[in-house]
Amino acid sequence: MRMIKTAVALAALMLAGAAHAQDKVIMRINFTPWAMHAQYYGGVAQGIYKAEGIDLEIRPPSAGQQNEVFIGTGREQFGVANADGFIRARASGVPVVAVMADEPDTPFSVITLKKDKYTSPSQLKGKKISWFQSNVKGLLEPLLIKGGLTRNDIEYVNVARGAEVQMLAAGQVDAVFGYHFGQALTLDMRGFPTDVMPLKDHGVSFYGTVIYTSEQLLKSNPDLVKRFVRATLKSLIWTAGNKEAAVAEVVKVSPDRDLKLETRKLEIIYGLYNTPDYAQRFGLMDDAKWQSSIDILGTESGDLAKKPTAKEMYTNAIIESLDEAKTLADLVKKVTN
Amino acid sequence: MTLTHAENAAQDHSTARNWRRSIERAGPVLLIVLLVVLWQILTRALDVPKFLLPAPTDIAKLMVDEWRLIQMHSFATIGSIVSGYITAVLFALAISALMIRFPLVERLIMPIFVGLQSVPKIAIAPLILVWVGAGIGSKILVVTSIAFFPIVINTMAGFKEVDRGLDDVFRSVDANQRQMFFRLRLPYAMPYIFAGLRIATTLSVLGAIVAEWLAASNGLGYLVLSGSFNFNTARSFAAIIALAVIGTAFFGFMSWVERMISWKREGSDSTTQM
Repeated sequence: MRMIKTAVALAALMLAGAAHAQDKVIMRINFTPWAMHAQYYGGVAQGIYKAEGIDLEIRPPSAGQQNEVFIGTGREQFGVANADGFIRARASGVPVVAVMADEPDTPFSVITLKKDKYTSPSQLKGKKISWFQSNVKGLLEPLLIKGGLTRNDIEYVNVARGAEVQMLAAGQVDAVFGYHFGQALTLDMRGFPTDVMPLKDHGVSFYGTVIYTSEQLLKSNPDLVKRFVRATLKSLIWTAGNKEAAVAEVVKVSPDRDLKLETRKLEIIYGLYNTPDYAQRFGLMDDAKWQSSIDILGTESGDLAKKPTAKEMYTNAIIESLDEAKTLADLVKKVTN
Repeated sequence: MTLTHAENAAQDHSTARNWRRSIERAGPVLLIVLLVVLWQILTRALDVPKFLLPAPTDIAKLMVDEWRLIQMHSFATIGSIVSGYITAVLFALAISALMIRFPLVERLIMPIFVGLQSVPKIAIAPLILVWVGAGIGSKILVVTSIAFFPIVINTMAGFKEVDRGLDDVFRSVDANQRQMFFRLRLPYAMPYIFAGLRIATTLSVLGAIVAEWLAASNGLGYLVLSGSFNFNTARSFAAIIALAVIGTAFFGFMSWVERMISWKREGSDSTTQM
């Protein structure tokens, strides 16, 4: 009898240990840490990921490699990606799949200095624009077409992430390809007022950022993917009411970021979450917008090795299984209404 | 009979030695060929995705298909390497000559150079981009800043290594500063200068790549990154191979120039030897 009791106690201990065992998870973000990553840093600091059994390490993007390679090959588990680079990865055969939309529409814009008075796409002819290698040139093309230009009419200056703002301020480039609530606000705050041409205002229906994993992980460990997405949704819910505290966690790892400015950016981001796309559930995606995103990049320009299908880009299965997606959808409507 | 036997044995021995020598010479090439064949077989057998590791035949095919592209970017990189290198050489030699002629200049400048030498130049490359902008100007400046220091440090060491006896001889015949420099110091410093020049060749390739990585629209550094970000790993490999060829050729060229215009300083021309 005593032996049975001991065995039961041991089993209970082992079960408790297993329950507390954390899955080591690495997530690659799409830029050096700033406001748009506040929910992840905030979630880690609040123990939200830990509560889901996830020991999360957040890594900034690689300077010499597209992040999708790390996730697609299983070396790392999750990533936040700009949709253009994500489509190119999928088109090149990297087995990645989006499990949740973050920014529902592309925030990419052409940002110029107000003093230069470049306010229409046609004025970009012959100008130098800063460019990240991780972006796909085809994304800018609808805006260029509006100005009667082609990609050969402008000079793309490839820069390291973070250098673009300084280069525009120093007059070394004429325009920056960046986020309208990112680089533009930073420049404004640093005393360089900007004009912004958002792609969205030029008829571009394109996903902004997505959270993704590998096909393999989705298949082999859907529970981990579910827990990760749930923790992310919970972190977004917590961040909605604690923006400054969440941004403070970003500033801890990125001390050059300004708390007030980044908090302001985060408020704008939450405003953008209030979209018909997220009317039912936060993070839902659909075929139509993926198809539009893929079509804009196309294959004629050589940006994509082949055209992927909309269906292979994403799954809504995880978001549809989580009540937190509904809660957050309701919350973002209240936050900005 | 015995003699013939001995001759035969000597001939056999000589043939065996020749064979061994040939194998030793061809060894590295054979090893490379073997590794490339193994690479080809493994990538095909294990079905390794091309974005992870393309097969050698994929790289070769890309190099043929994109030869014009690789050539264009190679010329851009060679242009910045050569321009930056020549600028560094001219600047370094001029400064060194000034420092050796006017010791006060050396006392003022050398501590700054030593301080700057210890700063990783990659760290200041982003600043150069902001000051000069992306393009050939920033590439030349980054290459110059990286290649300059080993030349200056070696040249100064060479200038100071002049044999004291010979120095006294020159002074005793009332040689002027110009004669002292061109007839004594410069010839004496040649091996040191060339050592610096050879170090600078590899550093200037590195400098060009750093500049092209940070901000550029052309060059092999740009092509390596472009290949990575476009999941076209074969293109990155092709650019790396082109870089290796350029770097090796540049280093070989400088060694050849050294052999052509320099001369060996024998121990016998020192007057202070025991």
